[in-house]
Formats: sequence, structure tokens, C-alpha cells
Amino acid sequence: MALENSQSTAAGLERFSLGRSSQIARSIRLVYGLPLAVSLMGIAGGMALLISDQPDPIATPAFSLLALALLAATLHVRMETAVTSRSALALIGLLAVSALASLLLPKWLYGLQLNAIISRTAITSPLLLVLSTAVCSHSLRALLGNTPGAGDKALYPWLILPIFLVVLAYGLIFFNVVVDGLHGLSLDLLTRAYDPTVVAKNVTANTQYSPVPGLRNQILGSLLLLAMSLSFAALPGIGAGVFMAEYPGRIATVISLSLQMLRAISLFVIGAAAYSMILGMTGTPGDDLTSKLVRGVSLTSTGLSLPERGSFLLVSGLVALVVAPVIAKMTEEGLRSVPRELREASVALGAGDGFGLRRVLLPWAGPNILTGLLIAAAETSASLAIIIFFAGTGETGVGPVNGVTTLDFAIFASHWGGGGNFFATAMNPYHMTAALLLIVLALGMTVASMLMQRRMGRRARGSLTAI
Amino acid sequence: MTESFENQWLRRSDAGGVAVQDVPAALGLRKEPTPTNVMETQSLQLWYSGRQVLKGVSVPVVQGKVTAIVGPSGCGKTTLLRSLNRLTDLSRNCRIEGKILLDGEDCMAMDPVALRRRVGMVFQRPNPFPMSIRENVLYGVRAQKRKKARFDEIVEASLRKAVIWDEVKDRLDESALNLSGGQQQRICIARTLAVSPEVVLMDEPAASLDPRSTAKLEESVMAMRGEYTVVAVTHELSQARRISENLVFIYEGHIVEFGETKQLFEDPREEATRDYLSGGLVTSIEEEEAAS
Repeated sequence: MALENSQSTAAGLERFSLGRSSQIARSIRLVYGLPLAVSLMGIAGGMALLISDQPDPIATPAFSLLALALLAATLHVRMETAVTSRSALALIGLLAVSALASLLLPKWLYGLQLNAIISRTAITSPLLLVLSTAVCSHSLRALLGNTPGAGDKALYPWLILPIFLVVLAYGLIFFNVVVDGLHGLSLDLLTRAYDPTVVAKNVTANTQYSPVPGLRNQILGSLLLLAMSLSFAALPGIGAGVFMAEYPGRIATVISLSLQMLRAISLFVIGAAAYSMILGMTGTPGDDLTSKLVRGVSLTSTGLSLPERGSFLLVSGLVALVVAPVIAKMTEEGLRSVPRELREASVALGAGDGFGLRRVLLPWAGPNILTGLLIAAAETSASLAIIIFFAGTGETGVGPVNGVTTLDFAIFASHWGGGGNFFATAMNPYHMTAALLLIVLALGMTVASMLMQRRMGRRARGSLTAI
Repeated sequence: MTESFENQWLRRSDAGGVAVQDVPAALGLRKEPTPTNVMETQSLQLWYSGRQVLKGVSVPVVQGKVTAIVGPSGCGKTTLLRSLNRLTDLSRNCRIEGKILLDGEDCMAMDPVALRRRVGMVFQRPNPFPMSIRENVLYGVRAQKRKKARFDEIVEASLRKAVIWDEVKDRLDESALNLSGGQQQRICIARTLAVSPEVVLMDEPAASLDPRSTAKLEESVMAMRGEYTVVAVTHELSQARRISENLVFIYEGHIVEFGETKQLFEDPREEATRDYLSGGLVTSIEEEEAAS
């Protein structure tokens, strides 16, 4: 007993909350509720500043309030235990300096207000966020009793705040898309194809068109491009992945390097290069099969077949070129994660490479390959840099040798005028609806692949017992 | 083993050459080449990234018997075992010199997949595939494309031989991963026996099991005596004494002594063997007492 007491007194000198009667310890801890509350307000204020884009009125009071709250708590603790936290003093000093600085900073950091570059919010709001988080962390630690475990929990504000900021930014954008997108959403928009003749009649009104222009072919086009690009990219991607993981050597290194090089080339350059090659084609698509496959073809009402700018076949081939390395990389990683024990078990039972791949290795790597396909799908949706060169309005339909068109092209065109002015004008009120549809498509794919991944993972990997 | 002994012996002489053939005899490991040596190594040397692990190992594997390889950790016993079915090929920086013969054929010249179909292996840690018990047992059979194989019979016979049939006969379609470690290891034995290999290699098969599972596992190894040729690495001497008929004592990459287990334990020729076996026995008894 005596030993315990002496130990706890010694510890009390170090950590004020231990070794005292719990009554005092609790009152000491609760004092930190004040700086904690103020720091949370400070974080909220910092975020508001970040969004508001105004010269701030609250930075100086916020810094001062934080400093005062922390000072009050620290003084109280000093009176009770004769222990002063050095980090608290340092923090108070920093806060005082910041309060002073924010008082002295000019409202605009450069130029007159009219041609100013940045407001002082650019400095005060991040500073307020960081210092508020520091106070929050410090108070949390004291409030929880200053134990090593409390120290770990006091890290949470530092970890959560950046994530929260990102989510907040995402949320703002998403909110904007959903509100604007739902506004334009209608069954007609989803089921009708863009028809230039209808739009041409209405284009002078320059308001909402009574028959909506229709996004059906863009939706189907996005899906078709996705399906075709992935099916073109899957086999070469998985094959290259298997080769790099299972047969390491000079050839594998060459493959790996060239895939990486391919990734480094800008999509825009690939698109431009392919487009310039197409421009050299002179054969009419009616007679020339290559021209038909590459450029795509549209039939006029008089039976004439006209060339498009680029077919789904061509564009999905180009996109496959870009996304195959992703699939290869993920396949390789999946195969490398197969436990050595399973590999050896298969080999020791006299299984050849093919059998082992089919029955053990590829099923194990399945979830990784699926992730690769998902990333590839996301990149396909984001491969506008290639699509831009070839896409059209989609008024002639959707199919492998039709002219390519996608939802993201509709969004692009509505702002920058691809596919002719009529198309741009018609699409303008609906570009956020198209964006919403793209988001829904991506979400659907992600959820589906997550479910599949879980099933595949359970089936192919089980829960390998760690013995 | 349809070939007559004379033919095999002749073929072996052709393949090995007289000088190499005589090395085990010269070392006093055996008196004459006997027809019952289903496998043998002849002055086998092995390097991992330039470090020599095996320094001229010549050891016979007698048909139908359990041969135990014992020795201190890091002496090369597992490496020796893995070289017998060329699992060492999987390491890229492994170099082998010397000969490994299976029925007189040079293993290094054989197709490795074909070799592994004749020389199976059970590993240190149970490594069942994430599949049903039945599919685990049939993996090798399917991999080797045995056309007219009667799958159900093979499954039952192999599981019986591994002394686990009674425990799993009602749940053959359940995942093998749901079994206990000891049961998993016996599934792995059944899986190896299902393709009827000529030799079964075992790399410390009981190392990760509790005493009860170990006893069961030893039971299934004992049941294999006579019918299968087994080479087992073990670090536990009492286990080697219980399950093996022949014993190889290996130390720092050299064979110190080879002989019948009983004789080696009772009256070893070499001083080193005596020291190791007596010292090792003391520790293992202590370990057993501590465990119980």
C-alpha cells in the first residue's frame, strides 16, 4: 500500500490527473471542456472562412478566445496541482502571435481590392483550422486524463479534420450536381435520342425546349464504350499481368516498362495522333470496310452512307490501350499476393502452370483483377481527352460502327460547343443531369464490384487460418 | 516397379557412372546398391545465392520405409527434402550439383512436373486450398488428368489412409479451411496420397500442431508404413524415434550418420550423433513435460 502511494505521488508530479483524489482530478479535467468547445467553434469558423471567400471578420476574436480559454484552463490546473503544461504555454503563445498578426494583416494581400490577388482569409483560415485542431487535441488529451491512451485518442482530431475537409468539398460539388441535375431530369430525356431537326425548329426560343433534346444515345453510348473497352482490355491486361507475375525475367521487365511508358503518354496526345491518322483516310465508308470500321458510318434517308468522325470500335480500342496497363498491374499484384504455401502445394501435387493458374492463382487474384477492371472502367468514363476528337451527337444511333458519343461528351459540348451549335445549345440546360447520370453509373459499378469482390474473396480465399 | 531389378541396376550404372555410383558405399552409408532404394542422392551439393547449404550429401531412401531426417535448425534438412522433388527450382538463385536418382533415373534431367507427380510433399504448415474437402483431395488427381479415375473411391481411400475419414465423411463438401489445424494437415496428407506417389516427403508435418493432433498425425504416418515410402524431416527426436525406421542425421550440410533408427538411438557410431541424440532427447522430454 505504502509503495503504491509513494509511486502515485511521484507520478502526480509528472501527470497531474493521476494520483490525486478522483474528485480533484475530475474537476481539473472538466476545466478543459471550455477550450475544447471553443476549439470546435474555431474549426467551424475556419471552414466557414474557407468557403466564404470574404475578408474575415472573425479571425482575431477567434484566436484571442482560443488563447483565453486555454489560458484559463492552464491557470486553473496550475492552482490545483502546481504543474504547468509547457505545450499549453507554447500554444497560447502561438495563438497570441496569430491574433496580433491577423489584426495587422491588410485585408487584401496584394493590390487594391479591385485587382487583388488573395484576401488574408487565405492565411488566416488555414491557420485558424490548424491552431483550433491543436487546442482541440490538447484539451481532449487533458479531458481524458492525460494517460498514454488519451494521447492516442488526442490524435483523432488531426486525422479526422483533413478527411472532413475533403468530404466537405466533395459534398458541396455533389450537392450542386444533384440539385441541378434533378432539375432537368425527366423520362423523356432518358428515353429520347437527340434529334437535330426538332432542336433546329426550337432553337430560336433559347429557353427550355418543349420536346427535350434527349440523352438516350449518350447513355447507351457511355455503356457501350465501357463494355467494349473493358472487353478489349481485359484479356491483354490479365495476360500481361500473369506474365509479369509468374514468369519474371527480361521479357517481363520489357513488358512492364512499356506498359508504364504507355501510361505516361497523355490521353490527349493519343487521341490527337489517332485523329490525324483518320484524317488521312479517303475511302468512303460505303465501299471501304476499314474506313467503315474506323470512322463509323451513318446512313442518310436517301440511302447514302456518310463517314462519321470516329466509330465506337476505334475509340474503345484506343481507350483499351490506355486502361489495359491498369488491369495488368492489378492482376500482377493479385498474383503476387498468393501465399507461397498455396503455390507450393499446387506445384507439389504435380499440377502444371495452367492448372494452378486456373484453379488456385487466378481465383485468388480475382478480387484484385476486379478492382483493376473497376479502375479501368472509371478511367474509361474519364477518357474524354480521347473521345473529344471523335465524338458526335449520336443522332444516328449507337453501335460498334456508329459514330461515338458519350455522356461526358454531352457535358463538354454543352459548354464548349462540340457537335455543332444546335447540339451545344440543346444540351446546355441538361449538362448537370448528364453529370448526375454519370455519377449514378459510377456508383452502381462501384457497389456491384464491391459485392462481387466480397463474394469472390470469400470463395477463393476463404479465411486462411493463421496457424 | 515392373522393371526387373537387374535392368534397373544396369540402367542406374549407365546413368550414374561407376565413380559417382560408389560414393555412398565409399562413405560407408550402405554396403551395396540394393534394389529397395527407390530414391537416392549422390554427393548432392546445393547453394542458395552462393551460400553452400548441402555439402555433398549421399543418402538412400528405402522402399516402403519411413526415413526421418534429423539435425539442428539450419543444418539443411528441409533443403535436402525440397531438392528431392525439385521444389528448390522455385527459388531463382538456387544451384545444385550432384545427382538425385528416382528408380535409377536422374531427377535433374526429368520434367519437374512429371517428377513431382511421382514424389509428393506435405508441408510444415497445413496448406489446404480454399476449396471443399473433396476438391482438396482431388486436386492432384484432376491436375494429372487421370481419365478413368473413380473420384469417390479415391476420396474415401485417401482420407481413410490419412486416418481422417471418420471425422469428415459427412462434410466432404464443406470448405477445408473450416477444419482444425491437425485435421487440415491430415487432409493435406490425403491429398498427397490421392495421386499414389512413389515417395511422400514430409517437412516437419507436426511442427504447428498441438500434442493431440500430433499423435493423430503420427498415427496416419505409421499407417503408411510398408505401402508408401516416406521421407520426413523432424526436429523432434522422440517423434523420429516413434515413426521412423531409418534415420539420417545431418549436420551443417553433411550427413553424419545414416542407419536404422533403433540402432542409431541405441548405439550410434559417431560421437556427434551420440551427443545430439542424447542432448536432443533431454530437451524434448523437458518440452513434453512443460507442454503437459
